[in-house]
Amino acid sequence: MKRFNIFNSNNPLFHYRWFILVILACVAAMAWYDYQGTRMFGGSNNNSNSYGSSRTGIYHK
Amino acid sequence: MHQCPNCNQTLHLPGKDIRVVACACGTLVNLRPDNRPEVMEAGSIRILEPGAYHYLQPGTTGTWKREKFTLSGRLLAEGPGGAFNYWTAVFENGAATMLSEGYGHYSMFRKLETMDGPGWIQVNRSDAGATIYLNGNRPYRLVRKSAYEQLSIEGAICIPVPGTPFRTAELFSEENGYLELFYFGNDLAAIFELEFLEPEKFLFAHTAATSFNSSFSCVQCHTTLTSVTVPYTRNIICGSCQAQYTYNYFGQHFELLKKASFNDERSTPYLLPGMEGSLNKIPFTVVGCCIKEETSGDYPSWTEYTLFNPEEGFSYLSEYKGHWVYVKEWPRPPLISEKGKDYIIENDNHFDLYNAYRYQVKFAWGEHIYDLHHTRHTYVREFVYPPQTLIEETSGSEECWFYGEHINPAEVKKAFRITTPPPTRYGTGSVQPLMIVDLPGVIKMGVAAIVLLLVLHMVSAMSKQSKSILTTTFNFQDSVKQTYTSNKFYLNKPLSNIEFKLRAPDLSDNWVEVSGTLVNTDKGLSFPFSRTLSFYSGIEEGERWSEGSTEGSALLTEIPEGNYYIEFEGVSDSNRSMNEVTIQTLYDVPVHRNLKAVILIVCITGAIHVLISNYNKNKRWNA
Repeated sequence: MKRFNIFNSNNPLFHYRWFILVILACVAAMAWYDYQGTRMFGGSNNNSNSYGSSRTGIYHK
Repeated sequence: MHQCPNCNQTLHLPGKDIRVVACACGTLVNLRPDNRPEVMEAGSIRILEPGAYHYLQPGTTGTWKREKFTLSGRLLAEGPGGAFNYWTAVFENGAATMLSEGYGHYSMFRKLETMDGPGWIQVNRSDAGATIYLNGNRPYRLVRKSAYEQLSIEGAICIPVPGTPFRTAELFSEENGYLELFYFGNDLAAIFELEFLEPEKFLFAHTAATSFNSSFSCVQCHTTLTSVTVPYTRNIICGSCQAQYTYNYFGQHFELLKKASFNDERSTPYLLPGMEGSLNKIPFTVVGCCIKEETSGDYPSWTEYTLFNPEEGFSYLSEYKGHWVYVKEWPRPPLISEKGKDYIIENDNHFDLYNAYRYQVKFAWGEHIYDLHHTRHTYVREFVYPPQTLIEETSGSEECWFYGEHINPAEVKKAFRITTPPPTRYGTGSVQPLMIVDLPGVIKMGVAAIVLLLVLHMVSAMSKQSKSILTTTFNFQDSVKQTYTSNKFYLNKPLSNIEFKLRAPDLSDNWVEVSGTLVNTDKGLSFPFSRTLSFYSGIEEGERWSEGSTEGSALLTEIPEGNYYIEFEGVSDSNRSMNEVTIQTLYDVPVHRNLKAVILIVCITGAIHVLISNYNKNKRWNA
């Protein structure tokens, strides 16, 4: 198990550990947001707007 | 059954090939090839006193390739270059072989019967590093040549040469291994192949239980000086008055070196001789320390502490500007698969040449296993692969390799239970662990990550319905305001999104705002949105410009399952030309912006890693 531990200084990927962590976090985040159908960093850009029901859902008359 | 020719006592011969026995009466008995015992012409061979301490001793048992052996005796060879022990190991079947031991290095000997080798004159003319051919064409590198002047014997031994002058040459080749050639006079007497093993692999038992030290009084200040590393000690320096002693292996005592002198520089070392501690779970005693200085350049100096453990031998702690490296000598050169002018590759690790220098000792205290006054002829090359380092020390007579690793100052402080803080750190250490990555590695990893993200996103996109619910068009030719209310429709996923795509292809120098509300008729929830499209263009100072877009979209997310309808309202500027805007409503669409965002994060993170790595590299090499 030790040889898969990228936080062990003897592991050849030790110096890449934060890069690998960021990649894994990106993969997990994208998979989750894609599954939910929501937009990461929910803001808007020039050509599109995003509205989440948790922010804007109101009761209709 | 053999008897001592001197006292007629029965001699115990524990195994085959035993040629020399030290009789209890003090006579060395040599068994001639016809098995007749004769008194050995001792010359400079002496019998070790009973109880002469060593970690191994006659009667020590061990295991070699699953076969048990017992040590029957020892030949201690001493000379200007140092001391070495050749033990005789007798296996249960009576076969005997030699086990060499010294400075914490252990190797088992296997005699080669058919090899032809060079005479001592040829070896002695060559410097360490020279190529020596065996059997005519098999190349080896000369690693060490030693001449021994004093031999001492205890127990019953098989002896490679019948007496002095006793010389050895050690040869190494990456392909053919490590050989030791024994010379008696100028003649090659025997060749052995060596196999090195760490001491714990021999499973030694019945080793000496007590530690040994010898003491004497400094002739200048009468301080008691203690030695724990005899017979390896070459120099002892009195910590009180700096008097310097050298070990006389003929007389087995220390002699004052009258002509020796170091600079007057006095320093208080962080670790003092006599301190005990534990590193890598090995208990060590600090036996000596010295300050070394390069003989050229900016004359940088560093402090080196010698650590000793009776079983593991010697290790060193080197401290430079508060950075510590834990160093141990390797018994043989490393297996280098590739080397260049400024690098070596060992075990797939690329070690870069960091420093090359000669040095002298400026200050010393305690015991030292090399001659402190003759270090200038040693050429040192330090290769680094942080946090590891390989250090090569070459002189005319030997090539030594040391392996070192960075160690935190706090670990040193803890290991030796010192209360004062270690020397302050300055700059970056030669093997201080810093984040270092290589560009091709980052690119490979980044590309692999992007491919993985693409595949994941495509799989996710394929699972989406991307269903068009309705398409409506507002025509603004007759009115500036348009409304539309859709029929009811059903959205079937527990949670998904809706995208409104707006297209106004003939929008020019005008704007249009589309707002709407998605209404859930089951729960009375509403989800409003609005989107404005604007597009302006013109020619200014001969250059065409444009601003805005004729297309856009809005995304409603986290839309629960249920029945819905949509209300749209479109407004445009009545004073300008504008025909129509088309609104397409899509349900459960993939969000491609997520992919773009994570690819951007991966690229930025990779670039940051390369930048930090380059900064760290410069910091280390400019230190």
